[in-house]
Amino acid sequence: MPASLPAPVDSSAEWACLPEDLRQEIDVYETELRRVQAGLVDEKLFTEFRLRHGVYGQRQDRVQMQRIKIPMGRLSADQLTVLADIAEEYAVGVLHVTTRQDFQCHFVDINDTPNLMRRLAAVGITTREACGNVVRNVTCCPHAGVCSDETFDVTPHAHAMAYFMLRHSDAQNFGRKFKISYSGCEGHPCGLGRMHDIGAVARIRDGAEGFQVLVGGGLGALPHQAKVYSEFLPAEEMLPLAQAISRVFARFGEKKNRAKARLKFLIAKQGIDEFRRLVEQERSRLPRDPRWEGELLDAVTSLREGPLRPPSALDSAGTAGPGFSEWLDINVRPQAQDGYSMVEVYLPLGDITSVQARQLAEVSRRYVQDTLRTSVNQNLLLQWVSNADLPSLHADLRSIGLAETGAGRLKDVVACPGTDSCKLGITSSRGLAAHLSKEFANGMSGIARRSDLKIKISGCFNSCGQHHIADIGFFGSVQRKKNDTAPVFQVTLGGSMRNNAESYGLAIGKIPSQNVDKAIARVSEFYSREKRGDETLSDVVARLGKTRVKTELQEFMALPTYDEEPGYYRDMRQPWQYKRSIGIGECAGEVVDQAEFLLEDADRIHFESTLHLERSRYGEASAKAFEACKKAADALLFTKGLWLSDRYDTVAEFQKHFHAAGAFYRPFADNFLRSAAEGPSSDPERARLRVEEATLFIEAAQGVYSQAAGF
Amino acid sequence: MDQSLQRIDVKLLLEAGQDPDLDPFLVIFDRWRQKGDHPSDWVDLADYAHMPGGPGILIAGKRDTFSINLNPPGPGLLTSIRRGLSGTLEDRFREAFRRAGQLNAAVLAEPEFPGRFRVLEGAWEVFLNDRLQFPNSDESDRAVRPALAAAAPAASVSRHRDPSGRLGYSLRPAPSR
Repeated sequence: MPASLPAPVDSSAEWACLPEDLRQEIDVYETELRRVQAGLVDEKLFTEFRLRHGVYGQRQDRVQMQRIKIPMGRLSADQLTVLADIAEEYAVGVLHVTTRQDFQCHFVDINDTPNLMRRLAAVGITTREACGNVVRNVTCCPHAGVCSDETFDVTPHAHAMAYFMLRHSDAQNFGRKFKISYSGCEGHPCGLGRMHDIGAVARIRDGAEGFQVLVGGGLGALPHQAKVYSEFLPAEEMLPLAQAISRVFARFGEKKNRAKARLKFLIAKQGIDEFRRLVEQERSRLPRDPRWEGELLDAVTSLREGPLRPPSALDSAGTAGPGFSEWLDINVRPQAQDGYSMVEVYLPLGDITSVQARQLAEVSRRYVQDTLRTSVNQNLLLQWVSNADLPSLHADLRSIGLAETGAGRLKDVVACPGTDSCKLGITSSRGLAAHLSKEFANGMSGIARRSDLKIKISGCFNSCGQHHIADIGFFGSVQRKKNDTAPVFQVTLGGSMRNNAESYGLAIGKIPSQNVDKAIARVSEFYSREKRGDETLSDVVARLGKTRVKTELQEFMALPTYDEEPGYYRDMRQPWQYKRSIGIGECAGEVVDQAEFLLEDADRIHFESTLHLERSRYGEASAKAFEACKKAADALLFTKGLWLSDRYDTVAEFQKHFHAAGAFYRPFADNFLRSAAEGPSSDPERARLRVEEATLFIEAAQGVYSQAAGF
Repeated sequence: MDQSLQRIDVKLLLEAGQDPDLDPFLVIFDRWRQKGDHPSDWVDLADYAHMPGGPGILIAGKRDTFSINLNPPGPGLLTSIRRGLSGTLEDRFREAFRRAGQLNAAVLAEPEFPGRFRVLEGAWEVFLNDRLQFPNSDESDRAVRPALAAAAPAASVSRHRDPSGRLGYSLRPAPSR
């Protein structure tokens, strides 16, 4: 074997604690990493491959952001501890909670990612499909199971969906990402169903649990409100429906134009009725899958959440420490279950240090039984706190700097990473959020705890900060004056998270970054002045009209020249002159046909067969050689419309579509069919022959694929 | 015990008073980043000044990351070594202190370095930032402590008591007479 060829990774000796399939999956990831570093794998293919393991290229060269999937935001104290450890060792000691209830770590060296994944896998966390053109983290109302308003607890349903779709072969060939959320009720914003590809909202009909199903929602540069696919779908139909929608999306969704590749564009193009017809047709063809019921049954039995301590009443606040009353009022909410509360831990900009995360895990062990959740507002939530424990929990949180009030209030600003780390960022959304955080503690403290306004900031028009659904939203842009470029924010007013994100805000105009704080103060004052009864800002904007609202903000929109005010040409918390610099973002992933992944797998497995041969393990060598050919055959069959989930017989189908049809060089096809009939061989000569035949078969398969794909 | 340790955190403690303003470090680190010729191989700045008691403001590099850091036990100049160490454990600690010393001297010489920060001479915190190779155990301690003591510019070396944290040590100067 030439020295430059990296051997497949086998971590079984060190990582025997991991389930075999997960360990092998990460070994394959590490093998592919080494292969791309050795120049043996196409960069584009590897980019999408690493994205599907949650490894995202940062704006800065040569460092990665690692996204870590937390389905429904549910996590245990032990998991939080390991997350803290890996952020400390492989990143910069900060865990960032995202608007999809994931965690992210920044400035990670790609060579550290395999062990990072193994350590997470050891506590049941995967990074698989956290990024890329696949089903992203399934989100869920963080209050599910304990909320007094919910129709029923959607947690097991969301859990079943998350694990059913994870690695599902029908969800590996999308043109863009795909997002699913679950809401326990219609009125409150927590699930944000209307801005998802599939939004499931709990409903009960004739005593049976089910969902209103919304499809084709999404924010981004061109936001779409989801359409109603079904007013009521029985709960047990959700997984097959998601599978059928995935197939329709993979089959008919745009693949070339990334800007038009989300499901919302497919539905807009076809119309909801035609889309529904296609999905129903696909649904009727799906081979029955025992996992449709099995995943839900498993979830219902495995997710028994409950208290650590008996229910109790909060005695008197007199024994509590400073700040307790305000914290109780703002960060604590009674549960549906008498004697218990849920406690929101406010995280500035969604950030928590490794030290705090470990301490919080320790604190949570004293009060709750692994019932922690991340929220879409980038905070953490503890469920099932016995009421009498609230004063001592508050004191413990205070001692680790996590008892700050403000969760869900105006000061609880949501922001995407912006130019801090995202290649698409135009302005510093986090810089602005950090600046506002400081202002809310000082000059703007009078309005910081308003509960009727919410701010969300995106660093560009792509809306990762969800600015469309905020009362006051901002997205980054630029404005030129003479020869100078200044960072500005387009302000959107009147979005609403009510009714699962029922309305999107309207753009009012551009405001220089340096004036945003003043503009927020004015909007707050204007809203207080104009509000009638229970009107939201959205109602006020609709009643008074955009022009009237714009007049209020006009004085903040003017951009002075650089000579007049050089400070306007700096971004927030960046004391250097602003320079617009954007690259190609990876949130759209790379469109890689599933056949390409299968052919790459075939290559890698074939290489493993050569190593077995070299080590005189002939039986394994011939078995691997056949497995490699089978992968290559699957790749070709995919181009004929056969899906792995159809559970077809690869050899029989290959014979029909390629061998009998004369669409594959016959001697090589004959070799493959003969290997299938004979099975693996331990004879040295025969094994060597099989490995060589596999080389030729895979080469030929690549040729057939390239021709079919028009390369 | 595997001796191929690469990740060591070395923090020189500072006295800074209540709620220190970290903004001057944005200016300093931006200048360092612009120069771009440092062996630490700077990548970019990261601003965590909004987190009380957090990682402060840092300049991340491929080889080392350097920051004004407010994590417990308190403010300090933190050099996080990520790669490029070789030799015995003692050699690696010596190299870590050498790099930290150079970076500390450089930042202290900057005109924007805030006057209210005062170096606590000889007060260092050291962490082995690699739980896989060096878990926080007595066995690791037995392997590490002699090497650290030999390499450390301090009189006393005591192991941190928190069993959930990384293997860590406080280094202190000899008491003044």
